[in-house]
This record gives sequence, C-alpha cells and structure tokens, in this order.
Amino acid sequence: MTELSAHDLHIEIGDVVVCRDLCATFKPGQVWTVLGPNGVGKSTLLRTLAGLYQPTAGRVAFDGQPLVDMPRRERARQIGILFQDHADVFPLTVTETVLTGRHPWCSPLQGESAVDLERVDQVLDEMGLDGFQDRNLFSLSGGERRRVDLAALAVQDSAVLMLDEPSNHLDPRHQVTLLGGMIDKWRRARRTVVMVLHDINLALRFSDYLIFLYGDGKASQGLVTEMATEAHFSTLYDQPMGRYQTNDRDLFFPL
Amino acid sequence: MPARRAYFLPLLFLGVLVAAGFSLAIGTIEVDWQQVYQGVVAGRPSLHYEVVMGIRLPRALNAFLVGGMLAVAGALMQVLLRNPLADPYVLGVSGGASVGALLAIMLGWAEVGVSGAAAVGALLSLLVVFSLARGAGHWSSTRLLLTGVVMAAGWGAMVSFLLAVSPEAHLRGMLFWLMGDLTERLPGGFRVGLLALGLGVSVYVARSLNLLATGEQRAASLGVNTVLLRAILYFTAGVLTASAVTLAGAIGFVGLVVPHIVRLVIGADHRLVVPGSLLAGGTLLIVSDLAARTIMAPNQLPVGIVTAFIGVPAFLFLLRRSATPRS
Repeated sequence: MTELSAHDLHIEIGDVVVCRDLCATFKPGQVWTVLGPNGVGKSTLLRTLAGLYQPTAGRVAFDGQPLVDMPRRERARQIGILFQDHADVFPLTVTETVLTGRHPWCSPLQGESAVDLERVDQVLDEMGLDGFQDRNLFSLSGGERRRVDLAALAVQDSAVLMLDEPSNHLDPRHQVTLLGGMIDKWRRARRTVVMVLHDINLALRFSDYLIFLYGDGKASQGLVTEMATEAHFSTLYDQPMGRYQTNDRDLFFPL
Repeated sequence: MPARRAYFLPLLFLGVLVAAGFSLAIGTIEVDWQQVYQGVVAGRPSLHYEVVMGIRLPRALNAFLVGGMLAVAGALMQVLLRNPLADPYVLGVSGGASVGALLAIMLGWAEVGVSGAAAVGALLSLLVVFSLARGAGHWSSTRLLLTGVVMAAGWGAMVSFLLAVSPEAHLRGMLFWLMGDLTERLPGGFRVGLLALGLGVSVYVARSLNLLATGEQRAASLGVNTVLLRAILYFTAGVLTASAVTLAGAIGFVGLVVPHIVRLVIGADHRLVVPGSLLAGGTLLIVSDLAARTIMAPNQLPVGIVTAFIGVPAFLFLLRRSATPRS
C-alpha cells in the first residue's frame, strides 16, 4: 500500500496555526483538495505533506515510514510537488526545465538517458507543448509556463502528486481538458493527488475528498458529497454562498 | 542539454590555446623562435628563451588560472544568491583580502607576506559572513546577500581608510594591488590543484545547480540537500575567489560577465556553464593581460582595467543580439 498518512499533525507558520491534530490517510487512486480562505496555510499544509516543512508536532508517513527518515532521493521518487509560482533565475529551455523533473531517477554522475528524453517528449505532447522543446522559458506566456511546470511534475512519475493551485493561468479549456484529464489519468493509474484550489467548482469537479482549513487551527475533512453544502462553504469562507443545480453537477457561488 | 551544445567546449578550449599562443609570441621584443627552441630542446639559455619561458609563459598560465577561478566562482555565486548581478566579490571575499594585503604593504612586508595576509583576510571574511548569515540556523539567499554586501561595504571603508593614512611611498603599490595584476612566477601546484578541485566539485553538483536555479524549494522537493549544496557552493566559490585574489589582486568583471556570456552562447545548463566559464574566463584574462602589457608598452596597465574594456562591450553586444523576439 503506497499511502501517505498524516498523524496528529500540528502545523504552525509564524502566528498562524494551520491545523491541530490533523489525521488523514491519502490512499492510491484518491484525489483530495484543500480549501480555505487566503492565508490559512493551505500551501504550508501541502509542503508539510511533501516533507519540505517540519510540523510543530505529529508526523507524515509514506508507507508507514516517517518522511523525515526517508532518504531524499527516495522521497522525491514517491512524492512530487507543483509549486504555486516559479522562481527561475536563468532561462533554461522547455526541454531542459522538464528534464529537471527526472532528477530523482538519474544517477548522480550520468546525465539524462534517452529514456528520460523520450518520457519528456511524450509528456510535452500530452500537454500540448509539442514544438516548444527549444523555446526559452522566459518567452512563454503564463499559461504555457504553467503547462511546462505540470509537465516537469508529470515526468517525475511519483506515487503522490501535490498540486498548489494547478489551474493558475490556465484558460477554461486547459483547466478542464488538460488538468482534468491529467488528474483522471493519475486516478486511474492508482496514484494519489492532493491539491490546493481556489475555485470551489473545479475542486468539486476533480476531487473525491475535501479538507477544509478554517484559519484557527480547526480542520475538517470528508467525501465531496458530504462536504459540499452551502452552509459548510458559507462558514468556511465567512461569506454567504449559494448553490445552482444543473443536470449533472451543482455549482456554488458567493451571494 | 549536454549533447547538443557541448561542441562549444572544444571550441572554447581552442580559444585558450590560440590566446596563449599570441600571448607567448607578442611583446616588446620580437621573439627569435630558433633560440627558444634551442633553449627547450638543448637547454641552451638565451634572452629569447628567458622571455618566453620565464616571463610570458608564467604570465599566461597565471592569467588562465585567475580568469578561470573567477569565472567559475562567479557562475556559482550567481546561482547561490539567485541573482544575475552577483560576482565573486559581492560577499566581501576580495574586500577581506584587500585589507589584509594593504596592511601587509603598509608594514613593508615582502610579496609572499602580502599574499599570505590577503589569503588570511579573504578566508576570515568568508567565515565571518557564513556564520553571521546562518543566524538561527536557516539562511536565505537574501540574508546571505545582505550580510555579504554589508561586510563588503565595511571592508571597502577599511580600504579607503588604509589608503588615506598610508605614506605616499606605498600608495602606488597599494593601488596596483587593488586594481589587480599578474605576476611572472610560475603558479604553484597548490593553485592548479585548487582550480581542478573546484571545477570537479562544481561539475559534480552541476545538475543540482540547475535545480537550485529553478527554486530552492523545488530543488529540495526533487531530492537535493539544499543546505549542504549551498554550503558547498559558498565555500567552493569563496576559496576559488580567495585564491585568485591572493595571486593577482581583485581583478574585476571576469566573474560577473563571463558566466553570462557563456550562458548567452551555450545556454543555462550548468554542466556546460561551469567548464565553459573556466575556459572563457581563462581566455579573457590571457587576452586582457596581453593587451595590458602591449598597448602602452613599455608601460603596463593594470589588467583589471583591460578586462572591463573588453568585457563590457562584448557583454552588451551579446545581450543586444540575444534580445530577439519570441521563438
């Protein structure tokens, strides 16, 4: 069982208590979304689950092994993360950038192999970035750049994928077909997706489970069907929310 | 990707050889190669043999070493500080070395003593900045940069102070040291070893450098021990800089501009940028030194002036050319 689990997780960052005694098990094939108002620490929770931030108390484990005890390289093969924004200093090409995602799989002394390159080309094609291989990163639009980030995460081939606001900069078509398509593919491949989204309706559309962070250390979680009510969202965002029912899905909006 | 643009490296190496060839051949006296050949083969001493093997060759070797060290240190520093404007001196290494060297000159120490004092000053500065920047255990690029910049400013004030109070007789020597100049003694094996070690370490961590350049958190998420990597970068760059500065003074511009020129030509993959910077930095300094000692011959200019005169227009030209529209 390649499952990621949080045990009595207590996370603080600065003055913010992100969560107290959070327990959750993220199983293969499940898609989770963390929702909550600005500044409650959604990204910090994601980074903690990825082993990049040390919780004040409690632990995160993969396959029962605490992340802190996992060798870095092994952890990077199992858990990948897409960051909210990027911080490149020097302009690599698209191919070079996506190849960095293969780092955990390459031996320290050898460069990337033909297999790695093939994987990169395959993913670039899936992302609609064929022909972008030699483009300079700095010449890309925001949405193209986001797709490059997604591609770099995809080639990492990790069992768990953390996505921090993956829909940023993507147009509606790319949100639904590309991002939605990737998530479906990962679900079918029995991988685990945990993401942060601001768009409630995308979250409902893509995920099976939701975690709410309220900002005072309180958190709640459950199946999308249980969690998605006007009352819950109104409390979560401290903003009256309405529901619009269509044939195949409910849409939520601020009143 | 290495395979695609790796052919630039042999070209750059060829550039080093050509530059070195010119550097041996050109100077105030016209070399009679027959005599040099006799000197090498038959061990027959002559003026021409002495000029080429005893003066020009060591200068060219020193120029290559210093240029290579500064350029590699600059490339590492730019990644470490996540700042394209970083150069080997930005964290105060050269400032520490300068204060050490000037004090030694004021005290009338011999050249060896001056170099030793410069080395002590540089290493001292390196350690002080490292321990101050660590603070509560965590050091961000910004904190490191600010600590280093403030430290460098402090050293700068010390240098001005020493220049202000030093007797007239020492001033010229002090200024020449500050502007940087190359000696005519054969470089020791120690320095060659340092450069080789620095290059080896840098190339070994080069793939991690690429990751670090895409973001520290991202590098960590891909399995890089960023704390260790940054310490390695800091000390590798620092020791290379200290060694270069001790040998030749604070020669400016090589460490800032060469890595950028290399990135503009070869691309930003540090597996190529690091060796490319070594070769290009070495070439730039050999050529600069050749110019420094021939333009106003028999007078010699400080080589640091020439590196700027060559480096600035070359960089601006490449920058303009690379500013092409999309695709």
